[in-house]
Amino acid sequence: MTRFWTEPVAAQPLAAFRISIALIALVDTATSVLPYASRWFGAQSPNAAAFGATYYLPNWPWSLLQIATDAGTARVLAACVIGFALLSLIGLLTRLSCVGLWTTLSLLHAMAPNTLNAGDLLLRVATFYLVLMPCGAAWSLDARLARRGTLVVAPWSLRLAQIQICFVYFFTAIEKLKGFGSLATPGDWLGGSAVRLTLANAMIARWPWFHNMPLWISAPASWLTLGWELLFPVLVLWRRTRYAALAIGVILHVGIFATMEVTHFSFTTLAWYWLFVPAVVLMDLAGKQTGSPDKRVYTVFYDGMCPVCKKAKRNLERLDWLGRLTYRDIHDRASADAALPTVSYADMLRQMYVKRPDGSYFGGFEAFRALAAVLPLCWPLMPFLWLPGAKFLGTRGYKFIARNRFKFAKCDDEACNLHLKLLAGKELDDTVIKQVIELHERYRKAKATS
Amino acid sequence: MAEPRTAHGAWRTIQRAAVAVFVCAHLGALLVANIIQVLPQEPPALLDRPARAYMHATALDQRWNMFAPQVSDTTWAPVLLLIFTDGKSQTVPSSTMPPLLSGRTQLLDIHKLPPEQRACGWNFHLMDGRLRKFESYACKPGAQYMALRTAWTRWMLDQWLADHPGQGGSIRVAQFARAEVVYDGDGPLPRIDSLQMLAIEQRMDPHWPLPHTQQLPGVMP
Repeated sequence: MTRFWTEPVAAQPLAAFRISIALIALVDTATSVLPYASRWFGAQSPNAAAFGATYYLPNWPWSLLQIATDAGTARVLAACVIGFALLSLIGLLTRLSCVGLWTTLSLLHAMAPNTLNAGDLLLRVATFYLVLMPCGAAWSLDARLARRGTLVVAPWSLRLAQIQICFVYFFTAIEKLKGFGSLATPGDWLGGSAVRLTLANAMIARWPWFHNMPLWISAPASWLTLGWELLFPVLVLWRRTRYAALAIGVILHVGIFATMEVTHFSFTTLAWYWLFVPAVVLMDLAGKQTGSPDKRVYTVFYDGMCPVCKKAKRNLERLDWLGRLTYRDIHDRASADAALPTVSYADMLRQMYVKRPDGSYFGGFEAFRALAAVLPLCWPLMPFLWLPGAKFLGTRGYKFIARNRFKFAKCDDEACNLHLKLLAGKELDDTVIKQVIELHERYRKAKATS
Repeated sequence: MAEPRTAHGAWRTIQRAAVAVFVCAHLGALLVANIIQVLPQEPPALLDRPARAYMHATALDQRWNMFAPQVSDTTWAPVLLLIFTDGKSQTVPSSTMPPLLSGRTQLLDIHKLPPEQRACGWNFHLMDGRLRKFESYACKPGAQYMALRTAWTRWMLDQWLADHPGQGGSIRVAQFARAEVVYDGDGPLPRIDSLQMLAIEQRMDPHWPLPHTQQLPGVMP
C-alpha cells in the first residue's frame, strides 16, 4: 500500500489522459457549444429556465458569473475553453492551461444545466484531476522546451484519479442495484430488462433494430454490465485482471456509443482508461520513446523455410503502415540466438516470436496480441484479444494452425519440400526438431559449398 | 529511468505532509460524498456538510444515478400545443424528433386513428443530444419539474413566434403535452398511443398567451 502511494510512476499515462481530455473538450466545445451559443444561452434559451428552478438549486455548481446568462458571455467562455484545451493538448504552460480549462469549463457548465449530459460532467471532473497532475512532464511542448529527462513523477495525483473513476463505476452500480428507490424493489438492471428498454427508448436509441430484444439477450447483457461495474475497482487495480477489465470496458463503451445517443460520454470515459495502461504500452502505441527520435521497433522471428510463415510475414509487411516491424529468420541461428538467447530453436519452430523494444518477448497467440498494438488495422481487435478466455481460445487456435500449417503449403525449393515433409501433420517433438535442425545444417553447408 | 525531481530537507518534509493531508482530505470527502448519496437516510450534517462543500468547491459534486437510469418502458416526447383564437390548434414537436409527431397529433383522439396512421418514423439522433436530459425531465409529471416544463414551453413558443412573425396575437393558449410512444408487438415502428397534458405555470406577461382552463378536445387529461 505504501508503494502504491509513494513509488514514482511513469509520466506517459498522465500525458495520454491530458491529451485525450483536452481533445474532447476542444472538439465538443467547438462543434456543439460555440456554434449554438445563441440557441443554448440567453433569456429565451432552454438554460435560462434553470435559474429559476428550485429543483437544481441544492446542487448548483459554483460560478463567478451567476448573473451573466447571456449568449455573449457564453461565447467568450466557450472560446476560452477552446483556447485552454488547445494549450493543454499541446502541453504549453500545461499546469496553467489545465487550471484555465477546469475553471472556464466549470463556469460554462454553471450556465448550462439543461443542456449538459453525463459526458460533460465526467469531462469537468477529469479537468480537476488534470490540475492536480504533472501531466505536462511527457509528450508536451513544456517538456521539449525544458529538455527535461523527467519521465517519472510523484504518483498521488494519478492514484486519486484512478480511485475517482473506480468510485464512478462502483457507485453507478450501487445506484443501479437500488432500483426504484430501494433494494426491496429491484429495477430494470436486476430484473434484466435495462438494456432492452434502453435500446427501445426512442429518445435514447440511435437505431430501431434492437427495440424488440428478447430478455435472454437483454438479461445477461444487463447483469454483465452491472457486475462488471460493481467489480471494476477490484478488477482494474489487480494486475492479473486489469487488461480484461479494461477490454470489457472498451467494448461496452464503444457499444454504448454505437447504439445510444450519448454524445462524447463514451470517449470521455475511455480517456480515463489511459491512467491504468502501462507506459511501455502507451509508448508502443505512440511509436516513440519520450525524448528519443528513434522509432520503437518490434522484431518478428519467423520460420524462413515455411511458406505459410513467409506468407504471414508478407501480410504483416502490408499491415505495417507505421514501419514498426523488423524481421529475423529463425534459421539464421547466430542472429536469432543473440536476440532471444532464452528461447530455443525448437520453440521458435513451434511458434512465432515477437520481441518488444523493452526486451520483453511473446510467443504464439501472445505474439500476435502484442503485434496488434503496432498495426493500426488491428487496433479495433485489441479489446477482444484481451477479453477473459481470449488467451485460452487464442492459444489453442494458434497451436492448431501452427501444427497444420504445412498441410496446405506449396514450396518453391528442395529444402522447403524436405522441411514440409518432415513437419507435416506431426507434433513438433524433440525427435522431429532434431531432424529439422540436421536438415537445415545440411542445407546451409550445401549452400556454402556451392 | 531518471529519479523524479524532489525538493530537499525541511521543504521536502513540508511538501510531503501537505500532499498527505490533501490526499486524505480528498479521499475522505470523495468517500463520504459518494456514500451519503446512496444511503436511504440523510446522514448527520456534521459529516455531510464539509464533504459536500469540498465537492461543490472543486466542481466534483455529481450524483452517479445520472449514469444509472432506471429506463421507463414508455418513451415520452414533449409537444407544444397551441390553441388559436379561432378555435383551431397546432402541435409543435421538439426539434430533436422531427419525424415523430408532426401532422399526427392535431388535438385528435389518436385512438380513433388507424394504427398505420399512428405509426411514426424512428428518430435518428446522430449528433445533437444536448436537449435530451432537459426534455426527459420536462416530461416527468412531478410538480418539481413544472418550472422546466414551463421553460420548455416558453422556449418552443419563442421559436414558433420567431418563425411566424406577426401571428403572436392569434394564439389563445400554449400548453405542454407529452406524447407516449409505444411498440406494437413485433412491428418495426413505434406508434403514438396517447397525448397527455401536464401542468405548467401560465404567465401573464405581454408575450405569453392567456391561460385557458377548458378541457381541450381529444386530449386525455
